[in-house]
Amino acid sequence: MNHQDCVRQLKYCRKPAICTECHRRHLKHLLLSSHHEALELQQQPLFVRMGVALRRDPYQKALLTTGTLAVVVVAVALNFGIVDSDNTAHADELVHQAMTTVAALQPEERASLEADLQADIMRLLEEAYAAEDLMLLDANDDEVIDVRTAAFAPNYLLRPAAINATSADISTVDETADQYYRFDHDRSPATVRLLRYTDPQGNRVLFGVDESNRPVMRYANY
Amino acid sequence: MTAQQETNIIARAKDDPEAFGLLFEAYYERILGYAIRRTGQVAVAQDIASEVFYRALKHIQTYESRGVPFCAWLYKIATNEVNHYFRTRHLRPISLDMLLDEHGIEYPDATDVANELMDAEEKLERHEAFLRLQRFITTLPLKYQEVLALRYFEHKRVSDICDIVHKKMGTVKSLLTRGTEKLRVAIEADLERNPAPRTAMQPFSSPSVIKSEQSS
Repeated sequence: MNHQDCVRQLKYCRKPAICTECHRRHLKHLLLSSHHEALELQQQPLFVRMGVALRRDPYQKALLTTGTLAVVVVAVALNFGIVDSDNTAHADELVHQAMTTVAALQPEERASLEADLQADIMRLLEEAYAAEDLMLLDANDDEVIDVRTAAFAPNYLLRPAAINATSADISTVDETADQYYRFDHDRSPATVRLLRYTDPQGNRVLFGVDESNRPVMRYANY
Repeated sequence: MTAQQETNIIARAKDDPEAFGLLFEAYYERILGYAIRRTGQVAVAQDIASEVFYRALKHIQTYESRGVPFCAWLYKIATNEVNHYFRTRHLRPISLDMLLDEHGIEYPDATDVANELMDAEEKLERHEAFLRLQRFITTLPLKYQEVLALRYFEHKRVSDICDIVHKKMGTVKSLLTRGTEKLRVAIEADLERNPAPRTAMQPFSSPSVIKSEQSS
């Protein structure tokens, strides 16, 4: 067989000419009905049109499902991701402001503060700033309510009787954390912002910064 | 229907379902026939025809002639649907059944539809020579299948094929020549494998026949 024979066969082979009348009739009826409906639907408000389109179109149904999933994923990401990074960013900003404040302190003021905290304040802030897990704690966090923490934040968190307490004094107090918390509920613990990080030695460090961005308490290795 | 009449009907069809009905009547048989001649299966072809007209109706409001006849547009949709079918061996979800379900309508004469399909398939089976040829064509890449079917089964001019497959004249001619040559090679190979004498209109056996013959 040569090329021409092949072409001849293609050209002159008897081709089927089939028409399915019932199918044609039904299809026409359905298409025209749907066209009528579509034209009527154009007069309807947008939400009605969207509802009908969603009900009919499997692609749009799939799109809606995918969209819903995407919204859920974004919501989860917001809860666990972005909120956390917001917290970290806020904590970083707070530490940065504290560094600026401490740098501007008079030498005697800074020495007095360091004596209270029993730490090199600038080093503390630098460590906190460099720490990967630096975070701002909520005032209702268990760690904040803890009695031992209160011992190092006398002017902000502790009940009046223990304003000048040391850690040794506090360890002798036999009241529960709940009592302390209830006792001090008028003292607005929000006036001190509490931050936590892990220092290079692996100790957890909790420290507080007051409204003027001065570190006012520190508690390590708890 | 003249070109001017067709243009007027298309313009009316954008708002008037009855006008679309005229276009449907004018082209249903051609599109169904094309789908049958491409796929070799009536049921599949019916679903493809349903999809073609459903899509045409859906997009007729945005249809612009741009010098290409409406018929070429329908053939283009049909070609895409047939190619989609061959690529995936799945039909798109639009079929007469689906449209019926969607509108909550049952076949008023379901038996007639089933009988009609059986009759049509029987008729098709009588075109043995064509079916053999068609099955060989389906072994070729789609780009050859579409131009060969349009040229030799639908008797389209090369310029019309250019409009339908959206390719340049030279490319279509080249595809036709190479496609025919590939088909000839496939037929020759079949003749070598199965050298039984054949009549002029039955020059070769189908791949399925070859398989059954080889296995026996």
